[in-house]
Amino acid sequence: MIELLNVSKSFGPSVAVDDISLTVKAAELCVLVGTSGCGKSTTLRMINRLIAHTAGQIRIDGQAIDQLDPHTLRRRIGYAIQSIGLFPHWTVARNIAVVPRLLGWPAPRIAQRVDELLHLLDLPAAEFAGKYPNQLSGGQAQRVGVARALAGDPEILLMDEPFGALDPITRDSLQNELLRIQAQLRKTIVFVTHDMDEALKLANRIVVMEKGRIVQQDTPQALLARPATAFVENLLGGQERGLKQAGLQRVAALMQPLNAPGLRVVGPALKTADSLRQALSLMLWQRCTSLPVVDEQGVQVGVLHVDSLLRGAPQ
Amino acid sequence: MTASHWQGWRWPLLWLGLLLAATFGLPQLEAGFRAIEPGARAVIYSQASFSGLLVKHLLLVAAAACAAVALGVGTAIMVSRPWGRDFLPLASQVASIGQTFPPVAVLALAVPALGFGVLPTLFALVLYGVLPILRNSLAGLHGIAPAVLEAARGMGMSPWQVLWQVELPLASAVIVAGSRTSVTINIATAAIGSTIGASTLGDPIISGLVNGNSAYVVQGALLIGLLALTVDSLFERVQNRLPGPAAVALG
Repeated sequence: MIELLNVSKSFGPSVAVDDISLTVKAAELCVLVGTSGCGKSTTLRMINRLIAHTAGQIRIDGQAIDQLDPHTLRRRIGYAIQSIGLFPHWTVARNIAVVPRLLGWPAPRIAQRVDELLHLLDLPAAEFAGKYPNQLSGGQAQRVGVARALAGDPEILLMDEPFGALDPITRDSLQNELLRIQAQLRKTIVFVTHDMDEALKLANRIVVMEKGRIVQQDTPQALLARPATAFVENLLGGQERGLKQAGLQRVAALMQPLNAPGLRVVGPALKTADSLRQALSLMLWQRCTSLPVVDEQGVQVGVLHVDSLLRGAPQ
Repeated sequence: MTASHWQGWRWPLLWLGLLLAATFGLPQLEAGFRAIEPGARAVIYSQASFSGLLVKHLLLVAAAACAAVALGVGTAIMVSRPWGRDFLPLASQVASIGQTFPPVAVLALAVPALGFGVLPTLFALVLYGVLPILRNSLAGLHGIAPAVLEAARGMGMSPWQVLWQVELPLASAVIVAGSRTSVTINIATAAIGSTIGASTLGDPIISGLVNGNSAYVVQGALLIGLLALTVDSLFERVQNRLPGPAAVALG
């Protein structure tokens, strides 16, 4: 658990973070979102003391971080950044092994951990372990970056716009990867982004920051339903809020299930895991008012009508 | 060891072979040098053995190189730490201005202060040799991507660990390139030490110039040239095994 109590950071006369209080519970994926210069990155970097806070207190599992040795603290916290910063003179395996080596793990345990992480991030060890960073694509490099952040098996993971520099398709697949890994590992993650869609997709809780202050913190659903200020509403995309909300719900929640086992569907169909936003888009594209819903094998399991889509989920 | 591994050693070994052959074989070429200086009493320099001069020359350059590397790299490391950053502009200026001083001038200024012999020569060589190393070390340390350094700190490396495990390895190729320039220049410059009483491969050259015996000059110059080529090719070999600039820039 991470607690920030009335934390401020000023650089000379300018205040970057202004008296914020925030609690990130264990196993929560908390996303800090806001425009550039709102203090979200500064907040993140204060948690592992890359930046020293000037007022207030930051505690990890009840312990104030300024009472810990900064290097020991950082070895306990995974850290992934947008520019990745892989060590160019080391192989992928050696890059991932950085923190375990700093922690003084025995060599066989490090080797085993590196293999585990390469497997977890879907980077076949035989192909990637010996490669150098300049031989990787952007997406592969950031996978290694995430693996490196996870290597010391930290309770806490700090991620500063880790997918910001990737193309939309790679970004999407890495976001899904992160959700999959999080479901498996249940780390406490603080994730910084300026992309509200990314925040809505990943977060258990979204913290909206503006000019060094927290303006609202809530679940993605609640944030969409009740934005506290015009700024938050704007960040949520104004008139596109409806679509963003639809993007958070799954087809499975609103479809009418079939009573009898269905048949294989040929032609346009929705999957149960698709979002309502995708469903609406497909209806607009096909100019139809209902679509069959199929399972992973392509066998029909239900129907989604545009009426139930408009009435919304039984929240 | 693979075939390509040995290929890298081809040039250093070739130059080293020629250098040793010349060091021990020159006295056998008396007839050839006689053709250059038909009227001279002796055509092979014999006041000291070539092998002895070679060793002294090498020791002088090596000592100067060690001091210059320690001084140049040390200064560059210092001015790139947070607590030494105030001295960075001074160090960069000295590094670029100092190079414009001719070595003979440095030598002439060192004699009144340090007397004759090895000491003023060493001083001049260190002073002259430190500049390319300092300049390249500064460039090497500043050329590292900031993201790499932030990641290193964020992973929990101590400042020493960042320096030894990340900064110096990544700057090493550029630092070695600077040392290569420094040492190669100093192999030639050390010969001037013979004018102020240091015993080097410059002895035959100075003696030849004073006595009007160009055979001596050729002998000294040949050995210095071959030594410079040997050492330079060794440096090239080392450089090729270090992380290249492409890897560093992409970090």
